[in-house]
Amino acid sequence: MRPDIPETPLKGFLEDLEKCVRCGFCKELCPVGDLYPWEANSPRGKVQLLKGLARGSLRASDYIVDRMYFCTTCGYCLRRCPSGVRTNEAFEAARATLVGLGLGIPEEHLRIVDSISRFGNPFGEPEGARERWIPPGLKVGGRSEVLYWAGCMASYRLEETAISTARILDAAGLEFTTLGRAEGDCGSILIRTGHWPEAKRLAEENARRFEELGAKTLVTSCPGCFRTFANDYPRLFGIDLKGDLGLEVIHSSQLFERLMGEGRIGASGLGVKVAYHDPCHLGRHMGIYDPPRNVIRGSGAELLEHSKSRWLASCCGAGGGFRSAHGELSLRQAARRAEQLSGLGIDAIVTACPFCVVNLRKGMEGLGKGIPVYDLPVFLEMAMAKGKGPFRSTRP
Amino acid sequence: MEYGRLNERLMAELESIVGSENASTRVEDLLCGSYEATPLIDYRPDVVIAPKTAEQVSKVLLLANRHRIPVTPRGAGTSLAGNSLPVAGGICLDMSSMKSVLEFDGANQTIAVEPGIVCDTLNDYLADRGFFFPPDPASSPAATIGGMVANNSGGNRALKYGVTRDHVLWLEAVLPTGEVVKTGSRTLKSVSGYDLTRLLIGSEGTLAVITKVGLKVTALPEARAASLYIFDDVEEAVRTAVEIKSSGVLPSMLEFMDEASSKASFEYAQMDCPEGCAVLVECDGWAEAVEREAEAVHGIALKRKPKFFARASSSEERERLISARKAALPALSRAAPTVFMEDLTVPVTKIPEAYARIARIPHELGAPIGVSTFGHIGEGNLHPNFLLDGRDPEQREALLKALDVLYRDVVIPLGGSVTGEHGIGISRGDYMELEHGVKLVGLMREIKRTFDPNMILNPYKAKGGPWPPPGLMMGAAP
Repeated sequence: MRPDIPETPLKGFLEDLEKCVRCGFCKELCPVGDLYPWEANSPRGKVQLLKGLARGSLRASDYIVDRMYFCTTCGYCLRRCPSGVRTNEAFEAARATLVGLGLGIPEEHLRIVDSISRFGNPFGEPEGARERWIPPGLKVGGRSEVLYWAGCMASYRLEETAISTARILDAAGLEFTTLGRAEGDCGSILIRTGHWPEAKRLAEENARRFEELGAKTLVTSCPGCFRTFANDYPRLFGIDLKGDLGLEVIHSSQLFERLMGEGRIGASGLGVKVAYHDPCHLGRHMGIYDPPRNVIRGSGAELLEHSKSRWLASCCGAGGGFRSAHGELSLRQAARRAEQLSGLGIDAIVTACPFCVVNLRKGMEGLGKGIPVYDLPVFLEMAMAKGKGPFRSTRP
Repeated sequence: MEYGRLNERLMAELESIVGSENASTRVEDLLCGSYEATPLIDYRPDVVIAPKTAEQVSKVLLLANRHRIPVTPRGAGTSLAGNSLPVAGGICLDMSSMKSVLEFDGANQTIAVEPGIVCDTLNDYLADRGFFFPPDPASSPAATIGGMVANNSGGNRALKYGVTRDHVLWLEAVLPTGEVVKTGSRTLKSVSGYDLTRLLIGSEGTLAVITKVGLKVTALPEARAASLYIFDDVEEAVRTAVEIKSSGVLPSMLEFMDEASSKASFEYAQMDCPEGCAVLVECDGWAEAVEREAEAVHGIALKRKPKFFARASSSEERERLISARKAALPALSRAAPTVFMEDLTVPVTKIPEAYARIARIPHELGAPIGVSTFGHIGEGNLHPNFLLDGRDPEQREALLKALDVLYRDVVIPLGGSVTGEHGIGISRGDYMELEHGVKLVGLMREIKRTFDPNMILNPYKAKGGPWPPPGLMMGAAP
């Protein structure tokens, strides 16, 4: 392994890993380390394994591969590390390195890679089904200042997110376009699971299409897409959408906040108590904590904060390919997070990520509490309808 | 001391006790059982075992004792003196899976927990019920209660609330010979027999393996107030601390960071403060009392003309100040590849002298290493941190010399103790007789032999035996 490391994605992290002082601050709130307490599962343990690989005292093994994929890439360890080790990015780079060495990658992830290359989505759904969510009359294709990128999850698994988003933008009088069936995959799951060459091809293809459309703002529903376009494309592939194409990438929660501030959408409230679940890729990874909260407050709901929120928020258990590779554990984590937030005495959980919605709903099922989980746009649309704001209901 | 070696038959027996998924001889897992927060020192176990019950611990110890296999208990692996390192190989007994709250009794202000529960997690649980567990080591985000008991951890609030031993009522522990025993009492008072609870507390896992802990809990204070003062020199900082203590105010924290430590910590916490010697004071209690105490502290500090002060106006600001102090050690790692943290106490009034002597050590040795000190100024508990590049053999050699000067020529002559809260582990063994004398150290060894005739528990740690402990094996990192 050692002679190869300098030529692998892990190369840029070798000095970084040496900064680890083994304090263990990263361990306790790591969702998977806590699900299965075992040092090699903890971020600190993973860092030592990678140091062992880099120093040549360990050889790459299937066991190390399994440990690297035993992670939701939630980034808690990244934010918790006082020494500034880029743990989470190092684990992703380790995955890419191990994939490059042809080691035993989880079969579920190989199926995802295959689905993306054949169908343009991780679910193996037909490409045409991507536009199933699109309501009649919505602009698809063509030039516009604003491009709404629904993402795979909202297009195929949580259509309500995409539908509500489109309606809110419509209600605000914002002219925007979508790509419909041509949207494709952003590459997030490929990057997270270590399939970087495939992700790079998608990044180049997407950048080309964005350039043709000439949009100025790219709005995503999924924090994974958001992080991928805004952070990973430039960091990993040198594709800077903002710098090269003048395309600003924002998450829909930021756009909603903006539109609310401009008075273009309004809502007087549902009179409910809600907890906001910070999606890892929106909060810890991209630093977006307040816009979704401001939208919830602007909707008139009472927002209750759990002590494990914002940068300390527990993960829903779905990210980083963890749900596909470790379904049962992923749901256990979802149930723990759902229970944690339910303890606040709330009427609903609101989050800003379709992945989190789906996992938290599944986690909530076993609790028997019947507390609904909403994606932000769906919650906002309900509040707008209730509040009789400028929202024009076009629900078919 | 000849120890038995693990073989396939013993491994099969261990697996049958804890389950094959909780026992591993994989090289990767052995590496993960070979370290703790102490830098530069690593020892590999032969097997890592994660028991789930006291019964499993008992069976593991019975088997180990019969075959003289060394057993080193480990919580989160946050010790700083090699306390949880398996120096003689054998079994790394990872207790972090036993982490449940067993019984909370708000009316009697007690809680029973398993040893693997993490300090901050316990305090989250207690905070929801209006209580807290006061000992607050900087490692509280990771340190387990079992580890804190075994090392008698102190931390930032020791001045007012004492250390871990002041909050432990009873223990369930497994002796190296396999018996499960319960020490102490559920009641606040008991002088029935020798205080074996206190004997196990701080014994660094050399006498027994802790499997349950009965703790006193304390009602959360209504209010807390924190303030920060930065002085030009350490003498002004110490004078301020002494005056605060003698004024009648008993702060819940009275902390100190020298220029390099405070610079690193404030950078970590993204706080814009000038460079200098920082004193952090926290008062807690009833709101009216806290307000008055905070005013008194402020008045005393201002008389010493600090170059900068900041008073936290919200709980978020207070948390930020305190987390900056707690992150001092790892934050220093941004200043040097290796930070070797030491732990000593001296009478509070001797701090300036001790600090000055410590600061001169690298220069006197002509060593290419640095030193920066922070600590619990209220208790005279300093943590000098030697800054070096541990990959360089010359610097490692210089570090060992510096430690010798520190304890032999600074701490003992000033009437201090070679450890305030980190324990003896393997790094301070050479100074035990210097501090306690041959007779008392011999008595300690007899105690060890009474509990652990085969010397299987956490061997070569200086509090027990075998004796003498080996010198620091540096540069053995995998």
